[in-house]
Amino acid sequence: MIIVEQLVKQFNSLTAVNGISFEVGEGELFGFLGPNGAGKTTTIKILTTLLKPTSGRATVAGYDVLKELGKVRSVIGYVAQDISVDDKSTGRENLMLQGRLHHMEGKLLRQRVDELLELVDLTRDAKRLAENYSGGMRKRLDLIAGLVHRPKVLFLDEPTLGLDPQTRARVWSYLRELNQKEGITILLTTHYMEEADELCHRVAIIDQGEIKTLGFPKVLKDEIGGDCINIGFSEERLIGENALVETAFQALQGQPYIQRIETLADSVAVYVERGEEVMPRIIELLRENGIAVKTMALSRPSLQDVFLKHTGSTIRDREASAAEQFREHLKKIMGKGRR
Amino acid sequence: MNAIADTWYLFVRNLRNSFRVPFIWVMAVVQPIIWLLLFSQLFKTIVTIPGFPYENYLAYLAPGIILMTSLFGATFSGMGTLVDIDLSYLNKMLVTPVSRNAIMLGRMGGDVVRVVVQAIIIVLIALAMGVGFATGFPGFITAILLIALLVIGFAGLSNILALRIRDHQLFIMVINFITLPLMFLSDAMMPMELLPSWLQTVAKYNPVTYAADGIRTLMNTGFDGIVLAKAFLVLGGVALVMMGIATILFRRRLV
Repeated sequence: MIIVEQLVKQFNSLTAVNGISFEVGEGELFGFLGPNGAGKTTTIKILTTLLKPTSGRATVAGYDVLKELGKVRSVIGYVAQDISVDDKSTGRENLMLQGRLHHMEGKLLRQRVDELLELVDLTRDAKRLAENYSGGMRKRLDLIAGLVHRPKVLFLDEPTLGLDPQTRARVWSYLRELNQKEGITILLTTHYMEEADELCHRVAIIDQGEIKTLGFPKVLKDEIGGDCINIGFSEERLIGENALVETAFQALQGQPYIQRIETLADSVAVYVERGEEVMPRIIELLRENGIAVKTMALSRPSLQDVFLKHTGSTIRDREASAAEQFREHLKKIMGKGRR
Repeated sequence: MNAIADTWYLFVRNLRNSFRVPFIWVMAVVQPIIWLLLFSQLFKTIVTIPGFPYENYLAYLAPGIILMTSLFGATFSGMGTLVDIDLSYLNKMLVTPVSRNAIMLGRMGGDVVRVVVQAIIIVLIALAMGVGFATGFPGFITAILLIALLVIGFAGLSNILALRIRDHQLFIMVINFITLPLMFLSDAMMPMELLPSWLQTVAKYNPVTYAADGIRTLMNTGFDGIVLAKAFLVLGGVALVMMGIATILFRRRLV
């Protein structure tokens, strides 16, 4: 449904998108996961004909985004990161105008608008001006405005950014419903791990304008190496000749079911397959060796770990450094302006 | 056909939204009334200057105030475009197959109708204040047509500036910088013969002068073929050029 080949976008000296390629299949719910400034929005803007790429090519539903703009526009829906509703229009008027701009006919359009208002529980508020809506209502209105013309492909830029957990859960369930019931192919960007993990079929991890890895969240996480069992020890037994971290490491080393052991300050991280089966055996082994365990936790690798593995940094660190750069940049221009 | 329908829907949206802020209309009507009262008192003695062709300054001033109001209204058209850009509402329109020209024409169309309706109200108020209309109803319609052309031209200019400047504050500064001089560098407030010669030269290149001359003759003397022909040619030309540039620029700035 979406084919992207070697897409590059440069803004003066800045390369926002650096030769990315990927494909999204029909009916897929595809996620672009990455920190702010990774190039997600730029990619979406190119695919929705809002920006021209510096080089490379892309097709959406078989139409070239550089040559068949009109056709691309007629089959896509786009919901931007910032809520963009016409505040001086009512909810219904907002949707009607969207439909008109897609050249939909009166009766069909009205039916569709009613249906969408119903879907997101806005029927009762359809006649109120959007400026009187709450944040969540505006987001819902914005979302369905991109759906009036039954697009084949829906582009969502950070669909749940700044929403409270409840509204976010609702948006997720709408998106699943649209994807399943209407068969809409969805490409969304996010910098929330759990959003990519729980909502998307496949995920591309994007950082500094490049796709670092791409696949099913489960496969990506499994590549990290099964599960992690974290064994914690009492503080008073951490130092000295029989420091438990070291003793435990000795005891566990060489066990066939353990892939890797990492010793940390007050704990040992053991990487295994099928952690729930292995855990009792480890407990047994440690008991046999007379090692007192204070805590034990089994965790599956998250997309956070995947991101870490492929970019060598966490999303939060990336965003912090991006914010830092931005502040530096601001200082420079502000300084210039004043002098 | 689609382009015409697109323009219509966007035009309706723009006009309808302006009714949702009734204060815009109140201000647009109250302000010129105050100017009419204030200026006609302030410059009352102008009529005593030798060579001033009117006995009543209000009769001379009214067309000027009507034009001033229209000009101010028209030059704010670009503000709506800036708001649509800033709220990324423009992007929302741009990802639809809507005609690109329709976005600009719908914006200007709505603003032009709004400002012209305001102008009509002000003309009626001026009539109520004792200003006559020598040419009667046909003259009134002709005057409104002239105002409409002026408004189209300056709404076009306003959108050109908005697309070039892209910043609200700077936009407002530039608009203020342009509109007042446009009024005073014309014969809208003071007859041509009483202007210093350099100002006369400038005023001859100012479209506001032609609009003022046209409307003033319609209100005070009668149909003057030459004055009206000049006014329609100049204002029509300006309207066409500005609207053309605004639409082309709008398309160029976007994919």
